[in-house]
Amino acid sequence: MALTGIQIFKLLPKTNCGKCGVPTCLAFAMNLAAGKVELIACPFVSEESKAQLAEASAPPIRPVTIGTGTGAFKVGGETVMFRHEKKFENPTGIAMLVTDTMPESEVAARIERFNKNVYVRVGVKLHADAVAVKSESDNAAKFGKLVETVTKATEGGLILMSENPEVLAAGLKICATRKPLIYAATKANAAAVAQLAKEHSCPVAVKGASLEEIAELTAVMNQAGIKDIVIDAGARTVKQAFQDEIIIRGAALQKKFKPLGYPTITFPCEMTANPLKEALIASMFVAKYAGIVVLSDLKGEVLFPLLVERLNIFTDPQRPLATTPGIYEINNPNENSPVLITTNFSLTYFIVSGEIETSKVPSYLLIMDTEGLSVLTAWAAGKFGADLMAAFVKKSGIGDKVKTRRLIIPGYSASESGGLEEDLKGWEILVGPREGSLIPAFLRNLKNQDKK
Amino acid sequence: MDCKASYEINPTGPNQPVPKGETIDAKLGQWKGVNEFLFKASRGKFDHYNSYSLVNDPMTTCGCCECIAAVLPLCNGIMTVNREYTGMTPSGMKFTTLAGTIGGGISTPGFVGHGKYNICQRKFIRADGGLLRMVWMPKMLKEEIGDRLKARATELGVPNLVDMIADETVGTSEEEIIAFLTEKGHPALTMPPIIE
Repeated sequence: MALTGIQIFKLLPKTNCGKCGVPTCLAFAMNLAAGKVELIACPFVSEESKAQLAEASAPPIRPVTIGTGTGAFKVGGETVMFRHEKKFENPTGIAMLVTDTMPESEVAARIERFNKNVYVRVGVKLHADAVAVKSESDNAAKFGKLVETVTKATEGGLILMSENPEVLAAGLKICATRKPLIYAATKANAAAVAQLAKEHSCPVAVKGASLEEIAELTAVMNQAGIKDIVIDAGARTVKQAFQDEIIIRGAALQKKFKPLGYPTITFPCEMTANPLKEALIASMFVAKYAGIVVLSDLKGEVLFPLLVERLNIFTDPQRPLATTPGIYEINNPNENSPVLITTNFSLTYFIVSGEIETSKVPSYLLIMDTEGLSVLTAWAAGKFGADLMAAFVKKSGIGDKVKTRRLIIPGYSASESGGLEEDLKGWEILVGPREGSLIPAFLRNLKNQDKK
Repeated sequence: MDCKASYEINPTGPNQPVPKGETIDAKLGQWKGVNEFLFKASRGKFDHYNSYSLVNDPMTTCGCCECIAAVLPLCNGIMTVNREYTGMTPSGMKFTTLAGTIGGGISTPGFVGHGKYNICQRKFIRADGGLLRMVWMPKMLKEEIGDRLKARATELGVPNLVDMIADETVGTSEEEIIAFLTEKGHPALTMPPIIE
C-alpha cells in the first residue's frame, strides 16, 4: 500500500504547472500520499503512471459498489483497524431479507417498511441500503417472480441469494442492470457463478466453510477476471463470525494478504430467531467490521438505532460535522426579514435554525464557513472575526435579498460588533443572545418593537 | 545537558538515554541500539531510521522543530524554511503545511525537521551530500546563522556558498531559483541526482 510522496513524485510530470491547485508536483505528491486529493486533479499524468499509481495506491480492502443510481452503495475500502487511527470509509450496508416462501402480504409489508423508514438526522438522510432476495424453494420461476416484485417496488440495492446457478440466472435476467450482489459462489458452484457474474458484470459474494477456502475461492474469481468480491466466511455463531471478521480485516490490512482484501457480508438474521438479539448482533458487526449486515426485518425500532450507530461510527473523527455555508431561508422570509449569522458547525446550525423555526419569525440565517467550528472556538481560532464576517456578508448576496440592513450576530461574538460596524458600512449590527434557546424571545421582541 | 537533567529528575519521562550500540550504516547514520529503542518506543511501528539522510527513511518531525528541510527535485538540492517565515517556499508548501504534512511521528522521505544550528553541523544530511545541497532558505534565516554558515562552507571549500543559496528575493518557485543557481554555479547542480 501507501507510497511515499517521493515515490509518487517520480511518476508525476515534474512540470510544476500548478493546474492541480498546488504550486508544485512535490506538494501534489504529498497530498496524494496523504489521500487528500485524487490523481485525476493532475491533467498531464501519463497513462502508464496512472496505472502504476492506481495499482500501488489500491486500498488493501477493495471498495465494492452494489446497485445503481440513487440505490447504489459502496462497501469496503477500509484502511485502518481502529477508527481513531484515521477514519472508517464506507458505512456498513444494511440489508433486509425476503424469501420466495414468504406469503406475498409479508413481502409487501417488509418492502413498504424498507421504503418508508427513512430518517433525517443532522442533515443526513438515513436509510437501509439493500433488499436480500433469497430462494428457499430452489424454484427458478418462483425466484424470478419475487425478484421482479422487489425490483419494481424499490430503488434500493439488491442481493440475490441462492446457491443454484440456474435460480440465480433467473433473478439476474430481471435485475442485472441494477447491479445486484450475487450470493453466493461456493466451492461446488464457483465456475458457474463466476460465469454469471462475468456475463452480467455484477459483484459476487463467495461463501466458504473456512478462511482458507475463502482465500482459494477469491483467487479463483480473480483468475476469472472478477474483482468485485464480497466475503461470507460461513460461520453462523456470533463468536466465530466475530473472530472471522477480525482475522479478515487484520490479514488484509496488516499482512497485506490480498485474497482476503474484500468487504464482508454477515447474516445476523441466521444467527438468532430473537429480533432484539438480532439487532444487537447487527450493531456489533456495524462496529467490527462487516461490509453488509443482513437482517430479517427492518422495523423502525430496530433500524433507527442501527442507522444512528452507523452514522456515529463512520463519521470522520478528524473533522467536526459541518453544514454547507450559505443563506438559509427559515419560515418563508421576505425583503423585510431580519438576517442572523452563525458558524457552520452542524450542531450550532441545527440548534440555531431549530430555534428560529420555533420563533415563527420569518428570517434569513447566514451560515459562514468556519471549518466546522462552533462560535466561540471559531472566534478564538480567528475564523469568525469582524473582517471575515463582513467579507462573507458582502459576498453572500444577502444584500440583494433584503431591504433591511440589520445583522444579528451571536451573543458570544459581541466583541466583534464594533469591528463589524466599521467593516460593514450601512448595516446595523445587533448582538443576539448567547444561548440558542433565547433566540425565539429575541426575535419576537424585535418584531414587536418594529411594529410599534 | 538539559536532557540529562530531565532524565535525572524524571527517569520515566520523555528524555531517555539511548545506547547507540553497533553501527549498522555509518554513512546513513543507523545504529542497532537506536533501532531497537525506536522499535520499542514506537510500539513496533518503526524498526529503523537514518539520522543523516533526508531522502532515505529520515527522522520523524514532531512539528515543533525550528526548521523543516524539503527536497527540491528540479534543483537537485534541498531547501529549508524556519518557523518564523510565513511565506510560500519553492517546495510549493508553507512552513505550516509542511509541518502538517510530515509531522506527528511519521517518517516522510524527502522531508526532515531540524534546528537552525543543525544546518551548519558536519553531519547535516551527510548521506545526501550535506550542506552543499542547500539551494534555498529564507533571507532572515541566512542572516541569522550567516557566520556559522560561512565557516562551514569555507570548511567545505566553497567559501561563497552563502551567496549562491537563493532566498525569497530571488524567487519562491523552483524555476526562478534554478536560473539563479545556474548563473552562480551552485555545486548542487553538478552533484549526483538527489532522487534516484
